[in-house]
Amino acid sequence: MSEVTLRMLFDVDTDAIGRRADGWLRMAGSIDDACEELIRVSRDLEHVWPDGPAAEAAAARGHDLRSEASNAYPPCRRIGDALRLHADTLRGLQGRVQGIAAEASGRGFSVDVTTGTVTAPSRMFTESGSPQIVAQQIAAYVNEFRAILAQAAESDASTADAISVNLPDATAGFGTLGLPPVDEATLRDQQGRTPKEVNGWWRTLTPEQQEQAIRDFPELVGWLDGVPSTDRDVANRLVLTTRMDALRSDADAHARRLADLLMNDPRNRFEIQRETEAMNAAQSQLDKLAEVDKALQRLGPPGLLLGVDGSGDGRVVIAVGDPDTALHTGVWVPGLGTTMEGNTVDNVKRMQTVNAATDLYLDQPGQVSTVYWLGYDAPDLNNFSVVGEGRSEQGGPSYLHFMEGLRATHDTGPSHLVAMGHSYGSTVVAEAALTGRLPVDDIMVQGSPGMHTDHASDLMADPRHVWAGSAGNDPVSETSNVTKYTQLVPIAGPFIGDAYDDGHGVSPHEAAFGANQYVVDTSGHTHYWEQDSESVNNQARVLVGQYSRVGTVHGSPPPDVVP
Amino acid sequence: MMLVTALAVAGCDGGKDDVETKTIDDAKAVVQARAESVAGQLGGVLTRPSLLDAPCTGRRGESGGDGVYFIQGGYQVALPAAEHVATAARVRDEWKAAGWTITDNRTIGTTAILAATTPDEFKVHLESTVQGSALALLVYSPCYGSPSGGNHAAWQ
Repeated sequence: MSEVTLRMLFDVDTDAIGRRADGWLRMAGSIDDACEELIRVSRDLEHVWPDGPAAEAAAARGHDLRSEASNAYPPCRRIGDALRLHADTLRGLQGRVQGIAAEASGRGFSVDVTTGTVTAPSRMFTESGSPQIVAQQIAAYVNEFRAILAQAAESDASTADAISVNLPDATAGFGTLGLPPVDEATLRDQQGRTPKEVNGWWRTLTPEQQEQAIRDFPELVGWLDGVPSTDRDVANRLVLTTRMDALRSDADAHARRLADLLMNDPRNRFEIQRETEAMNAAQSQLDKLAEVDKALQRLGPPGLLLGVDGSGDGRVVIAVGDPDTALHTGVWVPGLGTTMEGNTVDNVKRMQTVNAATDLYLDQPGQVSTVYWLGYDAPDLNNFSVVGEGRSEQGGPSYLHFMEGLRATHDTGPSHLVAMGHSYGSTVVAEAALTGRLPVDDIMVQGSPGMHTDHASDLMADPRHVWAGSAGNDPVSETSNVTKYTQLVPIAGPFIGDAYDDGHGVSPHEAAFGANQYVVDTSGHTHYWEQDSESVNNQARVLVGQYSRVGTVHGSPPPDVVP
Repeated sequence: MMLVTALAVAGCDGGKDDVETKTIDDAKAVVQARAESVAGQLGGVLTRPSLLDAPCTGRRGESGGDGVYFIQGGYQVALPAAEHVATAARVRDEWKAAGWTITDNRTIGTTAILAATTPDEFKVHLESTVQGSALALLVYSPCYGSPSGGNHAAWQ
């Protein structure tokens, strides 16, 4: 386009440009997948066939092939991104032209989009009493059109530039020179950036660089919000297996040393105690990671490990289904007493239950992702951490960051994202939502003791998108029950009950809170995920955006998400 | 500490009832047969089948971890959206005539939701899919005891 005209802008088929963008991005994705496969199957060649001229030649050819294939990915992706941006820009400009033309026509002007001229009927000059004002209005419209055309021309030029600079060289192709490896400092720098910025950076890396970063720094990549879920999964599984192997070895070494001491130096109590403690510590951490491994084994291919850390009380994030491609994603925070070693399998099952119920509502399988997020230190059963806000205040920012990461890594299609929390986990969701930056479409909680505010509108701009379920005999969400139980505790009971109630605010299922209370037909605090229940069906209906189907006790559900 | 203990144990005071003994495979076959029967009533065939076993829980939510389980059968039955409401109404009448207890019966536009419990304690749930090209069908068996005892875990 040497000179863009209104007619040209008007006639541009932005959908066609969008389809071409999708094509380039699909190709980039295929190159990425092929590179990962190539790297995976060829990385050990030099170890199993190390010597001789043929081995050296094969290694060199393998290196060149990996580099060249890998180098093809970023330019392909950049062309796709440029075309996508161009299509969106032109679509927006077309809308503005139509809007201005409609406004001008409504005020009696004639707009010729072929020539870009705006004219006024002669009567307008005579009737207005001020021909100069009419002329100024015409000039204003024309200037607006010119500005739009300038933007279209700029978009056209930058897109053309992006295409030309990213095409392969006619003789050298994309080259066989590998780009420099990603170092630890660069990765640590990413931790201070927004997930969107991290995602943008990650996409500039070649598959070879991404694979190297995952291989060399899996702990850093595995928790880096903004890195695509499938890459995080590879990194975290590497962390899991490496750490479990090391812990097994560690525990075995201490066990052998302990046996030796008991056999040969039984009076050395200090060493015996030291070895016993060290062995138990290794075994304890191993037990936590073994639970994660067990949950992943049960899940099979739909499972993605988005975070794992066995140190301290442990943190783990497991997705059932890929949140980067899912149409509907829910990220659930567990509550009181949740531990990595004690609850991971059961809580992942809950996510499977909700996932399976939601999946059946959709014509195509595999469009739902439900994520188990234990990215915070849940309150313990053996102290009073549950009555305070400290744990949720710590967890809220991490949860917010994770959710921003999912928005950044999701592909270009539609994405309905739901924040979910149970019990104390709902207060973590609340802390993230109260920042006003939680990028979700709905908030849904069960058995919540309160969400640190008195009204749902503090959590979502449209409180119709806040949902709360509570079993009638749930002692946590039904705060009157808490008081009933705490009254049984001598002396401190009433104080604890008040502290618990006051600490978290009104339960969100109460009508005064302004959220929708969905129907729960299960019993107690921990059974909201029984398969044959309306408790699960209603969670699935919210997750899939079919609000009109949700059974409600009170509230005003918003319009359904259009499929 | 007493507070959290009280919270932790609340709602778990049930026990195991006597249930029919059946292997998981036999129980799955029973659910499959029931689903096929419902699909026949709907005038379609079952697609996207998934049969899962899961531990039963008692009326108060207690876990039946001692070998008491149920089967969940999930399916879709292709049916044009325009036929969902009428088909659900017809099937509802057939279920009533067969002595089933209707537990949910709603229509929202072209969306149909129908659920029932059978005299032999199966639960059946029908609901239009979001795009409307099919009815989702869920069939839950009553609880069975495993001949071999032991714990049951779903999704293995």
